[in-house]
Amino acid sequence: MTRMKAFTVRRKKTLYETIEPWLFLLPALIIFAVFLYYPFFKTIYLSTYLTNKYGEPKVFYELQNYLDILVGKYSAAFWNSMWVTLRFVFFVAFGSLLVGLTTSLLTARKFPARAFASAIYAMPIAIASAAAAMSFKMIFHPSIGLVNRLAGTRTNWLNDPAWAFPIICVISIWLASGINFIFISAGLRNIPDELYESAAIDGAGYWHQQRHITLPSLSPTLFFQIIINIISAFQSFTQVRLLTSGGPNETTNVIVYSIYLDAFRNFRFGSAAARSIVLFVIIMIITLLQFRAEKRSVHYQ
Amino acid sequence: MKKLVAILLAVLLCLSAFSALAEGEKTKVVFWYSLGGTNAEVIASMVEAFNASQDKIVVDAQYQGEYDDAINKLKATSMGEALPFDIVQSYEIGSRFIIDSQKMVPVQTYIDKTGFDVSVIEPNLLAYYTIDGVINSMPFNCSTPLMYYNKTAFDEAGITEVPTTVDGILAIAEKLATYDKDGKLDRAGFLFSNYGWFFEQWTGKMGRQYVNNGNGRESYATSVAFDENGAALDLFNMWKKISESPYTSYIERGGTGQARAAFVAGKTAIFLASTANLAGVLGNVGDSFEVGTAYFPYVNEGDQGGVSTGGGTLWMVNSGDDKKMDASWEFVQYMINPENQAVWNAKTGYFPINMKAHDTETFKENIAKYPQFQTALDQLHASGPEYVGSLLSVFPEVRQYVEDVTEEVFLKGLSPEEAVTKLTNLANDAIEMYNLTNY
Amino acid sequence: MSQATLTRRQKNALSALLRIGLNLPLVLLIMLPLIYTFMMSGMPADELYSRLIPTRMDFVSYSHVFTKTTIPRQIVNSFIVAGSVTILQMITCSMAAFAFSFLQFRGRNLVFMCILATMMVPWEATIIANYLTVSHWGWLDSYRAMILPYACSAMGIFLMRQNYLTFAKELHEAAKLDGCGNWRFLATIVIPLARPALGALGAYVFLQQWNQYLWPLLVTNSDKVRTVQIGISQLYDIDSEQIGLMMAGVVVVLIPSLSIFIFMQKQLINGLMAGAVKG
Repeated sequence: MTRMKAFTVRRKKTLYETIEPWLFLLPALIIFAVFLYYPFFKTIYLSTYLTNKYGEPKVFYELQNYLDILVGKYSAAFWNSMWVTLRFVFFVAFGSLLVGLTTSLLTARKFPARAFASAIYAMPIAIASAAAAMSFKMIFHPSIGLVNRLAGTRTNWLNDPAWAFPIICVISIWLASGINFIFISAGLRNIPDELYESAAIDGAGYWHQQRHITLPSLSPTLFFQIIINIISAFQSFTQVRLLTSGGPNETTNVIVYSIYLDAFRNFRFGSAAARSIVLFVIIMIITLLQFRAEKRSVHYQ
Repeated sequence: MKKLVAILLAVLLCLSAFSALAEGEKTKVVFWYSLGGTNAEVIASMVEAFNASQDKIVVDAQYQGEYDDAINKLKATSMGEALPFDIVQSYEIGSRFIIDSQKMVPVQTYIDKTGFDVSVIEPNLLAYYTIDGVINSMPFNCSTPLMYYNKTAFDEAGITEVPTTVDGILAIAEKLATYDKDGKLDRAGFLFSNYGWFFEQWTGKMGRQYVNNGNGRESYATSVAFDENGAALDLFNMWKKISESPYTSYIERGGTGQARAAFVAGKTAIFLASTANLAGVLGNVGDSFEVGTAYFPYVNEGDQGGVSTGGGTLWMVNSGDDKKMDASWEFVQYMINPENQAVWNAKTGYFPINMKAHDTETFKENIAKYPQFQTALDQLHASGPEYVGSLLSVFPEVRQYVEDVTEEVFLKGLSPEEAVTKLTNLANDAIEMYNLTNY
Repeated sequence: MSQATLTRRQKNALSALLRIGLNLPLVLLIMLPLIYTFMMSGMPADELYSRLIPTRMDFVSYSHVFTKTTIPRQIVNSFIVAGSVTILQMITCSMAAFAFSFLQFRGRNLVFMCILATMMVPWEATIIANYLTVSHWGWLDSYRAMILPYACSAMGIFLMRQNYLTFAKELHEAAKLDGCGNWRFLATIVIPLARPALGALGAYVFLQQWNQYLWPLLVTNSDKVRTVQIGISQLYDIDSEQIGLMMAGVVVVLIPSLSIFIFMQKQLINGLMAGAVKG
């Protein structure tokens, strides 16, 4: 094992050489510092104050903002938002995963028009949530919308406390199905065909193969995708703003929307900042729990 | 690749430079407005006419979205140094907030400066926007809420007297409702939108106050008044009765758009909306049926009160630039001159704020053809300055709470008493928090 | 041919038919909102209240979109904003990724972790403060406010780095021996080699920016700089003529993003997949 080390001259780096990498990083670092790191800490700072309508901190409120939303005067509404959000994230994250998985499996093998079908399944990534919201607004229009025309009813779906939430979930799942399809398909493509072939020789049927080969092999991809779905579902805003404004009866008042209202309608930036931090902590916890779960259930080849 | 990037950057730079080219030596006045749809088109054409009629001033009219969005924009831009507009149209409930911002010059200054004769303006309107004897903004598109009804349907159902109270409406609803072949409600007897503005109007119609301190006019409000004076309880009891009626349903909140569409499509015989929608409704209904308008209904029999104004006014920014402010005043005067107000009235339904408009041909022809336009005016004259609405800094927020709680009463069966408590707490909290940090 | 078992050919044909049969309903379901939107955009005003499917298509709403609304201007704005962000991200992310993959320096891993960590921070945690920053600098209602916060992204850096890591180290060695400086190396050798990944990044970023709603809503007021997603959300009005207008507006706004998707589909998907698999 003892080889002669090649005789390399390790001269000292010039000043320029030490600085150079940082020059490459400079634009990125500046942008992140100004628009990501600084605001993050400023938000924490603001959350300890009561601000005036211009966002200037006026009254040092310590942790009262947090107490107000977690246990105090705003807590009923906040926990309702939390519950709505958690259900929403659950349905949308798993729903779009399911849709993506289905569409990926359906296009896993060759068949005529496979390319066309794949394009359609991926297409939702190009659709803006605002555009989708306006489309669905029309679909669920009380007098002349598609749903009411087909069903012969006159229901005002988006104003119905029982239906508004499922509809927003459906729209969000539709929007997220594209990215799920793309990533899961990539994962599928990486599973060696030999695994399936040998299983087929052993007499394993389609569903057996899926359960014992596909799912385990896909687990890293699925795990990664769920995290992406969860983080992105937590940030869904446009659909709620344009279609339901958090209602009816607060049934679609996701936390993100309540933050928006607190900051930009009530102009209570301190309280809104506190909500943002709480949301951030929750997302972190969920993500960490996910990583814990990964260690136990995900298979790597 | 590099070349492509360079060209793209150059193009981008050119585009941005191009858009920054000034418009010459004309004084530019930026006008923020909030009316959408057909009403916006009328504004656009009036602005165009103004620009074409003289060559010293050019008005750049910019649509700001709904009133709520616009006032948020206003709040946002107030944070910066210079406001990016010279005139802004804002709704009545934004008044307190705008005055607080101290960035506007009261139109009184210009009224005095140019000797403008204010007696031509409807006194009930001026009263709302006059605080401590100073007229802050110029009424422009003022409206009162109306009850719209399908006259043809009334005749068919044999109804000869138009109801003046909500109970009256509830009583005739059964006769007006029609059913489809499955026995489901096809045409509702009436549809009331859960619109916060109506809550305020009804409070006025009961002759009571919305907030304390003289309805926010003697000094800024510190709490609501509708809990103690029973207005809220009466209103939530009314909503409860409405929710229990099988001849109606929950249609919408925050506006009257769906109710209007339903009326046009023949799906309701009665609905409530601002007079500003009159021209639009008449246009959409066409010859399908006859449209009738009546006073906004009282809540209780024997109420004494009146409506206050809704709609918007024009505020002038104190930009410090005399030339711009003079130009803005020119434009304001143009928009409220008799002919324009008559045209405005005929094309929208907002009533003319300038009483001289009644003498114009445009106005007279319109009234002759559509007497429905007269109702709003009569209602305004029947009201009095003592029923002028309230001033509240957090009005927009409180209005949302009103709608939230009303929704719960209607859809979740929240009891009226609990509703009053809930609303009072929410509203007072909003007021307190605002006062704590802004005064 | 025996009647008992199917030939391989028949089996394949059956299998293909089965797949088409299974995919068809799903494809239609996913396309449904778009098909419906297009159909409603051409619905003549007089048939609006009476029928579901129009007997004829009346495309007058499209001309209204261009004459009666502010959407044309907003399309220009969206192109400016999305285009600028795309170019800026391609530049800044390439540079940063280069530093992380080709250069050695102290703290490299730490800084990389810090940047990756930003991908976990939801925008809610920063949007309020960013809004206050931008408004205090007087940047409200300007292109800058929409462009600069997005001028770089952790996702972009990550994607480009994944791509650079697949290049042979010897390339860099050889260039150094030739006396080629890092900047020239990046510009003349790395970037051309990374074109597919850059293309994918560009398409992805452009789409993301074109579809932005909340941030432009907050920082812009006037139609001078407002972008399309805000424009179509403001088209909603109950008057019957406006429904066609609204749907036509949605279609018009969808065309650029769908076009990019269709043309860049291969690169976009391959680029995203490459990033995903390694991740």
